[in-house]
This record gives sequence, C-alpha cells and structure tokens, in this order.
Amino acid sequence: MPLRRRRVLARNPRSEGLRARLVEEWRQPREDVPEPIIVEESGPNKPTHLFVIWSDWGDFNQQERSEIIMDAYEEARGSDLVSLVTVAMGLTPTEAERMGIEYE
Amino acid sequence: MTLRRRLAQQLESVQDLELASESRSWEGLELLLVGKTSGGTYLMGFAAEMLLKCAYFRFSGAAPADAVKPRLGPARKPGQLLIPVVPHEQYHSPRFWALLHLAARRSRHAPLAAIMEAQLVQRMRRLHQNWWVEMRYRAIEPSPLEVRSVFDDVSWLRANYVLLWR
Repeated sequence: MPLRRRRVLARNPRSEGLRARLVEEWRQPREDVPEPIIVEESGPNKPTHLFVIWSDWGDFNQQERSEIIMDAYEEARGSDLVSLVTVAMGLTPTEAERMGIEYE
Repeated sequence: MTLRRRLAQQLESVQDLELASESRSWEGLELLLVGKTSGGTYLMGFAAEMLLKCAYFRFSGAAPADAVKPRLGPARKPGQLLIPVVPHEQYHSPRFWALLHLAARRSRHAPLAAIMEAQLVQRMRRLHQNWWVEMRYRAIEPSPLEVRSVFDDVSWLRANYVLLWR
C-alpha cells in the first residue's frame, strides 16, 4: 500500500508569498517599489519594534501578520536578532496613518 | 454602530486585557456561585490566560496602552527556542505563558524567587489540566474538585500578578 504524507496547510496560503517577499526586502531593500515599507525601531539596550506597512495585508488578521513578519525576520536576520523583537506589527497604509506611525 | 465594529476599531491593549481579566474573573465567580460551573470555570480560565500574557508582555517592556496582538508573533519565537516541547495552543495555553515567562526571566538574569517560581509552575500546570480553550465546544460539567482548583489557581494568579513582572 503506498504511503503518503498528508500535506498540511498551516495558515492562509498567501502567507508564504508574503513571507518570501519580506525576506527579500530585508535582504535587498528595493527603492523602486512603494511597498512594503519596513520600519525598524531599535537602539542600544532597547528591544526592537518592527512595523511593516503594506497594502497586501488586507485579509490577514493581526496575529497572522505578526507571525509572518517574525518568520521573515528570522530567516533574513537570524535567530539572535529575532530574540530582541518584542513588537511585530503589520499595518495597511490606512491603518498606519490612523496609528500615527511616522518614519524617515 | 454594532458592538463588533466598535471593538474592531482599535487593537486591544495590555491594559484592555488586564481590565477584561478582572471582569471575566468576577463574572466567572458569579456563575460559580449560582452553580453554573461550566461557564464559570471557562471564564476564570480566560482571566488567567490574559494575566499570564500581560505579565510576559509587561516584563518584556510593554506599556499599558501597547497593543497585544503584534506581540504574539514575537512571543512565539522565544517559545520555540526556550520551551520547544510546550505548544502555545493558539496562544491560549496557561502552561505555555507561565513557562515562557519564567524562561524569559531566567534568560535575562532576573529569575523569580524560587518559591514563587515553583508555585507558578505547579498552579499553571494544574490549571492547564483543568481548563482548555476548547471547553466551549463541550457540555461536560467539571467536578467540584476541578472547579475548586481552577478558582484557587486563578485567585493565586490574580493576587500575585504584579510580582510576576515587576
């Protein structure tokens, strides 16, 4: 009898695409595309806060956005830096504006 | 405006969770006192879950007004590293939050006093045995001993909440 592994879809199937795009952006930031905008807030002896402003978040809830950002950050920057992150927030441009997220 | 719309307008904050925990705890107690033990224990378990999350977030530097959901993803990573065999159960497990909190404190050279640490581990392990977020889909009534355990463990947590993160 053939043995087959069950394919498990962990979450929204689009999440993998977003994660890969974020990894790419962290490794090689592109100035020729308007989004995603990654805002990193960190300093010596301070935890890191990550904000990713992106229209593509649309149908993802905050928990999923947070997990995608963390998975991408870990892949791009490694597990040492990931332990310094205490906030990973995904926002659409409208949400970012409403929350008053400012960046350079 | 509907309740859902009002709630969805703003992300819940650490302080929201602390206040909600207080409400759920008293509502749970009201239910227990009139013999509605299934609903009572369910609400009390949520009260504990919220306090454990807040204790971890507060210790990690969160201010009362900081949003909770963007802190869940960052909590999952140290969880995988520090307590890999303990599932977070969609971030609802009291055992996960208690052990993560202790591991985080130890990794930052700020462990709790030994007696407090032992109490937290024992009580949250027991709470984990007597409360499960999936209870909402079950019609089983908890036994008097289970109800008493949940009440005792949640009450202990409420009494010691501030000591956990200060």
